[in-house]
Amino acid sequence: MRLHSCQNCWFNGLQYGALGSPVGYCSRHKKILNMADATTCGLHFRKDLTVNRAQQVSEIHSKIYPSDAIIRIIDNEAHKEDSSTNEKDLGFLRSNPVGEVVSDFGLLGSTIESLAQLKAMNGVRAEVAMVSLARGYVNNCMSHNGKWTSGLHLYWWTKNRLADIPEIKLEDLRTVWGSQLARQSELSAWSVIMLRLTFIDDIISYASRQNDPLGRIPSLTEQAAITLDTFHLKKLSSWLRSEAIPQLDKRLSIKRYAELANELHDERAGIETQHDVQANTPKL
Amino acid sequence: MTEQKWKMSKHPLYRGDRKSGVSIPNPTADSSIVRHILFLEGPGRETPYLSTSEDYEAANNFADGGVVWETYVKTARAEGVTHISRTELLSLMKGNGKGKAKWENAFEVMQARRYVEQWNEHLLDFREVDKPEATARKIFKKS
Repeated sequence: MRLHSCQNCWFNGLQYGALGSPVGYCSRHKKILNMADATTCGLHFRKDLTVNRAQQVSEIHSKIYPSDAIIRIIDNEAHKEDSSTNEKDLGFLRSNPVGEVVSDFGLLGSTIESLAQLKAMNGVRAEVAMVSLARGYVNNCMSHNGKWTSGLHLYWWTKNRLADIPEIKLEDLRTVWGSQLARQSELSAWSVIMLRLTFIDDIISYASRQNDPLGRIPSLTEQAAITLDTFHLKKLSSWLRSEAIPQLDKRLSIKRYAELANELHDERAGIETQHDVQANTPKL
Repeated sequence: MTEQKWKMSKHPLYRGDRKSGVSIPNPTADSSIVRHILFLEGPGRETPYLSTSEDYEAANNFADGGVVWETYVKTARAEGVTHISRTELLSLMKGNGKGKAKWENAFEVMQARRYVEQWNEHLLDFREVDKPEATARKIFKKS
């Protein structure tokens, strides 16, 4: 499992480490990834790093690999069989609820609606898809001069389940790398909680750039790593409940969340009204 | 599936790499263990270490169309290569890390530690090796 392969990329919502489906799906190239552990491209953004480090690594990566092709790491060549846009393959992928939403992501009107669909689904695979794609979505908004609040609801949903220990089912694992199944399951659950926390750190980092009080919270991934020196899920959950979530709630209470959400709603309604006026104005 | 505990004296270490041979370490490259495990500089990066695993399956996953190579700790040591065991790596990678695993970002230390555990990783350290290419070729054989 190479860390710079498609399985560890924000734009592949279907896999992360040992978790996920047999194939991935790239929401940038709009292709099924048949060999996600062995392929990459110049658009790669690592899931296992915080946003600033992922950005640094991505800059190095984009100088080595092309952004317009999915290539095999071992020989730097694009192989036809490594990806697919075949209708039958897509149809099969879409027969799975998570696969359907992930393959629709970015094709339908609103990406946030796709993320909301994933949020409503049960299971760790839906959650991995939501958080992975959410990281790309908010980063994209920020790189187009957007506000950190573009990720407000995604932040809130993620924060609300931050301390829950994900239930990893046998069918959620795509490999155990020759190791003990139970331990791989625990480490995978740990990686999902860290993925949530990394996304929360992304939002804190964006909020900090825009001088929002939420941005004053010191990195939670860093705090967690300094406090916990074993991969003990219950201890992590307990720390998140007693230490991390109170810090978040202090800077962004439910009352403030509601105010910001209303502001977002009003802004969106204003943009839609503007569009309606423009669409209905006769051209001279 | 690992059914018996890996023993240094009995079991090999596996590495997935190209068919033509294992990657050649650079003994004088940056010796940070976290930087190495997290692969922060991507392909072509210089490193004094070669990652290996107790598990054939883990190594095979890294081979990606290449092959799995194997060596023994005893063989590596005889050629001046230092073995950094999985247990030692795990003990070094807590908080901000210790020794060559010291790193400013504790989260990255933790992620590296998780990978060591998930992949049953051991490092072969070439920092004291004079002829890394010849040594790497000598100690590994196709599995």
